[in-house]
Amino acid sequence: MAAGGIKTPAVLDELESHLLEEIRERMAAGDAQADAFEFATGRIGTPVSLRAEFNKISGTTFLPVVAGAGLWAGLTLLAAGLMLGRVFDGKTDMLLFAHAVTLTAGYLAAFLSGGFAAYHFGLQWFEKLSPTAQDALQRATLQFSGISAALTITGLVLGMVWSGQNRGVYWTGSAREVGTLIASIWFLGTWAIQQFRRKDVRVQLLASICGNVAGALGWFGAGIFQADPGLHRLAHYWPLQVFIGAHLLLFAVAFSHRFEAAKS
Amino acid sequence: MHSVPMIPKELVAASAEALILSLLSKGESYGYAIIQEVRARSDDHLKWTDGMLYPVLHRMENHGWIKSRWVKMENGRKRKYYSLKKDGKDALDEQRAQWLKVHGVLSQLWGEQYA
Repeated sequence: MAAGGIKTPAVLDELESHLLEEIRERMAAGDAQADAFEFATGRIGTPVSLRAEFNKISGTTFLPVVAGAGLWAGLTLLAAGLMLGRVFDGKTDMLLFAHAVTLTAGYLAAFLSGGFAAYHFGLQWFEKLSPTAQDALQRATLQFSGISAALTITGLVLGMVWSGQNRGVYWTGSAREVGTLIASIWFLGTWAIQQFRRKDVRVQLLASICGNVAGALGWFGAGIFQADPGLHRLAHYWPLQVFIGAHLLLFAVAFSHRFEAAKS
Repeated sequence: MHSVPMIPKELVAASAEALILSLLSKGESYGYAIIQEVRARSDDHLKWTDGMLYPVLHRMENHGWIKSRWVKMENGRKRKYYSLKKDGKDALDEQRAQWLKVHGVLSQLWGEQYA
């Protein structure tokens, strides 16, 4: 079924469960295992036709994902627009602009991935998680997780190149640089975990929620250690603590019995 | 004895939601059991491609008519159970009224024809 293009873990589990029931019934009726298997697979339908039917449902647009992606694109463009002004004013150059925009987009993508995961858990808590929503949110969580890893690593490299050209050293070991490096590695690790644990939806979602905490600490937490944190001064104020606390609470709640089904 | 000809797949598809809603109105069930019950009640005249049940179930879940939960079985495997929600009961009432109307008109016509 997976080779036929049906990728959603929950759907594969359900079809597999059905096949096993049919095989068990046929074998209890006296069929040999091979015959029972052939009968069951013939009865369940071809992967191509099943995929076509499931695609009709999963192809449906899920508005929150579209809205979230639009918000991400909009905020990235806004940040780019604001920073471009500094380039035209001569206060910064294109390389630093590229570094700042890609990093901003990368962090925002990580927060969006975590946001989708949190929304998934929220819908599940209130028993309003439809298969379309589940499929759309899982895909979006994984996609933006990958985008965040790619963009933050690119931004980090661009920053190092700028530093090499303007300061003579590629790495100064400042709190901001270390924070970004750790966050980038974390996002890459999150994406890798999500790729290797594709069948475990809960692990995928929790990894993205952790990504939010890593992103918040990497982006704003570095400001705690700096005398002049600039935009990163948010670390000194309660929003960061509330943001992290809320995510840790969500992480703890996600382990409750109501989310056992999220494993599938 | 009059034998029932093969029921066309369009009619099978059209009746799927009504059948599933009606079966789930009797209590929670799972995909394989639903198919077995439809087969038994129709003397195997309603032939579903087993796998096609699941997109229908997922569509109905998207509509908010039914909800699902995974249950771990004794053998360690999981099984997905479906149950009817309030909107599903309303949808069932609506579909029942529609099918009974069609049945009523046909019964009338055939009663006149074969009287």
